Amino acid sequence: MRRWAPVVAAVVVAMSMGGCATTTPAASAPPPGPESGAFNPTDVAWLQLTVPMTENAVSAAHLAADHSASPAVRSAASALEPSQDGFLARLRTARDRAGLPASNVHSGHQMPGMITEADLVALRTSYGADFDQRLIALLRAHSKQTVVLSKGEETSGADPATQALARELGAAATREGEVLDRTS
Amino acid sequence: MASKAALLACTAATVLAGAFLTAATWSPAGADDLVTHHEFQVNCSPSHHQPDDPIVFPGLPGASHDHTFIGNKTTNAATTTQSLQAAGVGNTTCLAPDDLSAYWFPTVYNGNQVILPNFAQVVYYKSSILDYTKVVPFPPGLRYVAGTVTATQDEFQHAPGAIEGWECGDSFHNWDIPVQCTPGSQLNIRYQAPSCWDGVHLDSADHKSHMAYPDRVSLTCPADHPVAVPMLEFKIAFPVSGDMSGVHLASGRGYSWHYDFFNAWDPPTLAALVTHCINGGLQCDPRGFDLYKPDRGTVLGPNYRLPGRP
Repeated sequence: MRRWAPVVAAVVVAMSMGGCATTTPAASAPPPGPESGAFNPTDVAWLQLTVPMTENAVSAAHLAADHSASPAVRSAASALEPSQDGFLARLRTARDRAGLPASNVHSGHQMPGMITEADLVALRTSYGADFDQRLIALLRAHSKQTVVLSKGEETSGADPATQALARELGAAATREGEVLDRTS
Repeated sequence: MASKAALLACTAATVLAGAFLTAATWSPAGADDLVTHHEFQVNCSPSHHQPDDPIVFPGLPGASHDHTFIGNKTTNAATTTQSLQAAGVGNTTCLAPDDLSAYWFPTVYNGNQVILPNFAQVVYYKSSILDYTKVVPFPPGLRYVAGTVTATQDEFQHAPGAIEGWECGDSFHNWDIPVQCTPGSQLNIRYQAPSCWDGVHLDSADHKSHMAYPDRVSLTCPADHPVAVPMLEFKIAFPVSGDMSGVHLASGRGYSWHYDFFNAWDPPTLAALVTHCINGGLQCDPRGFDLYKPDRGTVLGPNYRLPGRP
């Protein structure tokens, strides 16, 4: 029993000194990221991730016209590009409404499904079958991940307009993924 | 003659032993009280791995590169302070059942094979400031990211959290994963987290700027981050060796190493460990016991809980 004495004393001291109590002002956690209306951390994370992902997918699809030798690939890309471009405008509007900066916080970051700067460099320097293979694989991964992310925003986001945008984007990505799966 | 000499030697030894014992019993002050450490260890086994990050991508399962989670067994994309605290005492892979904190780092792969640590890993809780008596416990819900996923090799090497980079066998100071490790050795990394808190925000937009490293020269916290909390030092070992050419992190190269911490300790338990081991200048094991200063007692019982807790 005796060996516990200093410990009990330490606990009592720590508690009476308010080791934790000193930090109570922070107990009411501010939301991470810019505070703006109904946007919650999930809305913020989804916008900050989906904007650069969509930007890079549009850039990749845009290359098909000049780099692809396959009518099927050109057709899939030419359907996807304007659709994604339309979503991109709406995503940027939502991002601005949330008070978030335009900078890509995930630049240089390896993210599942994200077409990276390195991927774009490889696409710009490849043609024909090699290009087609790369592009389709990248866009498939992008579409699949967009579906996953949009489901998360729909479930856990707070801003109704952003959640609705996620629902539409997810549905479009599902359709685009099906087209890409049929495109070889 | 011989037996007399033996008897004398034996007597002398007894007297000497008695003197040491007396010194130890009667005079605890002196060299024994020299403060060389101000820390305790937390030991936690891997719990699970999945592509979630409740700090960077809250509410977005599957959004992240893969992470290996230790500590709280419930950690996923939906994790909040409340969910961690509500997980229930003992719902953790850490030895202390009252540590419901979440700890995670990028999963290590050898090619496509996941490499999970194969024993309880060490997270040190230390003082990174000179006046270790000023360190206070983490507030409930404090969370942050240590290290930078997009760092260049040079940035990783010169980061304030860097220690010796990647190690395996007798190879140290590697700022990317070594291409070859002695077969049977493990790949090790130690990295220190920022430990000066702004005293206000439990998180920030970049999940970092509410925290800072202490000034390197004065070893004090900067004025805009005045509250010294424990400095976490993750020491993680991965069982992979030999040809390392296929070994990488889920986040990329070795220099993308980073880790996350989300505090959900039982406050009295954390306070007791910080007070006794860090403020008290001890080198504590996960029970809050300093092997070299046994007279100072221990914080947690054999069940790794505060006295009186079943």
